[in-house]
Order: sequence, then C-alpha cells, then structure tokens
Amino acid sequence: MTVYAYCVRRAGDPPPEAAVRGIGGAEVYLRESGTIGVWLSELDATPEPAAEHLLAHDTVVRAALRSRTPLPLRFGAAFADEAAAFAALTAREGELREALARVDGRAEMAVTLLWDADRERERLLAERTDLRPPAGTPAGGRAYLEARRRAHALESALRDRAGALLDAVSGRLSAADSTALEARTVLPRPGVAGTLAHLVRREHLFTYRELAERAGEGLAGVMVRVSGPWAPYSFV
Amino acid sequence: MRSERDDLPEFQAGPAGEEWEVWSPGAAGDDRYALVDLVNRVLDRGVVITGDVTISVAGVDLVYLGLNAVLTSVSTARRSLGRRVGQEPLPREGGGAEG
Repeated sequence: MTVYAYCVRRAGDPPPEAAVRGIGGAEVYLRESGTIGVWLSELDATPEPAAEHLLAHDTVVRAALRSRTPLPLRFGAAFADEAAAFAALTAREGELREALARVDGRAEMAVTLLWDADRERERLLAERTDLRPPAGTPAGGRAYLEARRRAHALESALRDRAGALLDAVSGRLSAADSTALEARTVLPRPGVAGTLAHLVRREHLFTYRELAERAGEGLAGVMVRVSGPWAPYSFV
Repeated sequence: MRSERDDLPEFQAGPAGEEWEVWSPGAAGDDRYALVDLVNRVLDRGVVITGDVTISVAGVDLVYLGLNAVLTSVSTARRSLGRRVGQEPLPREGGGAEG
C-alpha cells in the first residue's frame, strides 16, 4: 500500500468532491496539517508513468483548480503512509505557503510555437551570406573548422530567430494580463521554436485565449497553438 | 459572513457557457500536442517533494532511483543521473516528450 499525493492546498480549502477519482479510479481525499492540505489516494503500488496515470494525476489537480489554485505536485509523489507524506510537506511548509500565495487567483496558460526548423535554416541561409560556404573553398583542416563555425553560427541564428518570435508573441499576449509571470523554453524539441507559459489572473483567461489564437498572425513560418488553463505546473 | 473563498474569481466563462477544460484549437490532430503539454507538465514540472522514483525510458527500460526527487522526464533524469552516478549514460530514449 502506498499513499500518493496529487497537489497541495491551503488548510480550509474545499475537499475533493466524491466524484473525483484518482489514479486507477482510487478515491481522493483531503488531509490537513497546520496550514497545509494535500489531496491523497491510497494505491496498491507506486504508479508507473503510463498515459492513463498521468492523465488521472492531472485530472485530480484540475478538479482542485476549479475551486482554488493548488500547487500541483510532480507525478510520482508516493509515500509509505500519510505521516511520511506530511513529513515531506511540512519540512517545506513556509516555501509552499509562499508559492500558494504567488499562484492564488491565477492559472497557467500556455502557447507553443510550431515551425519547420529546416525551412527556417534555409531562410537564414538565403538571407545571410556569412552563413553560407564560400564558393571554391578547398578541403582541409581550415575548411573543416570554417564549416564548423558556420554551422554553429547557423544554429545560433536559429535560436535568435526563435527568441524573437517568442518575444513577438509574448508582447501580443501581455495585453491580456500585464501582471502575468512568464516562463519560456527556446527550441525545446524538434518542430518547436519555443513555448511560453503565463500565470494569468482568472478573470483574464478568456481574453488571453482570444489573443493567443490570433498571436501568430503576420508571423511567417510559425503556428501558434494555445492550451490551458492548467494548474501552475511551470510556476512552482 | 463572507469567507475569503467567496471573493475568489471563478474562471471566466467563454461564449455559451463554454467549459474551461484543456483545449487545442484547430484540427483533431492537434490533440497530440495537448498530450505533449500534459506529459511535459506532469512529468517535468510541478512541486518536487521527497519520494521514490521510477523512470521508464522509451517505455521499455525501467530505472528505479531512491532520490530526493520524483519521476521526471527522460531528459531531466539523464541530467540528474549524470550528476549522481558519475556521468554514466542512460539508454537513449526512442522518442517522447521532453520539457
């Protein structure tokens, strides 16, 4: 038997409704200690990261998000018993309370900038002669090093281009909530120029979504995809 | 008597009472991007508290770690393991999301 933790809340925040089910369909219940509450399930074993378990974890966190923004725990927070869970949580109670205050009244929104990186490389090579190999370059050690330098410069230019696109989209989204914190990644994986996450006040979520759906207009070679609201995974 | 919670703003409703769930506009094929978003968040972000770790690499190899961390993405796991076990390489993942 293992005790699995989904998210941290303030003591006194609403408990999970009876319909909320956790990993493997387990009951989700609230336990509190001091100023901290946590949503838990009893599981037969530590869950493996199967897709249905990841989805179930987020579903529970999302249920908490509906009433008040929780601190989502990363998947896999399994303990021998409730005492062990609270020992881990109360050791960081002050830090957790600060984080709860930071995210209160807000939710995470996210945009992903999709692009064809090879096409962007071709575009950069067409625009910048310094990135292209000079005609008639002889083979040899110097030519090899020059090719390495150009390849590095091309990837650096690609990263700069991704950053500029993120800046442009971020600027357009700032009209939704100028107080929103931002977290970004640049070139996180193939086919993605970057991602932005914003911690947006709840009353501005729909405005954010509307702006995000238009945020890619006029930006050549990039498609902007929006998702959310999420619990503030990127801001804890 | 009003409680603090009574003053909390609810999620702003969309047109026609639209439900605020994870959404992904456009073609149905975009669902895979929503799943990547979910996996990145649940596995690679969020509060980390002490626990045991089980990491699946490419859905095949399982690595069990008694770390002061919890399950994380393969990329984060590789960095973490490299620091802890002297840069021993992990098996390369065949794909999947990285944060």
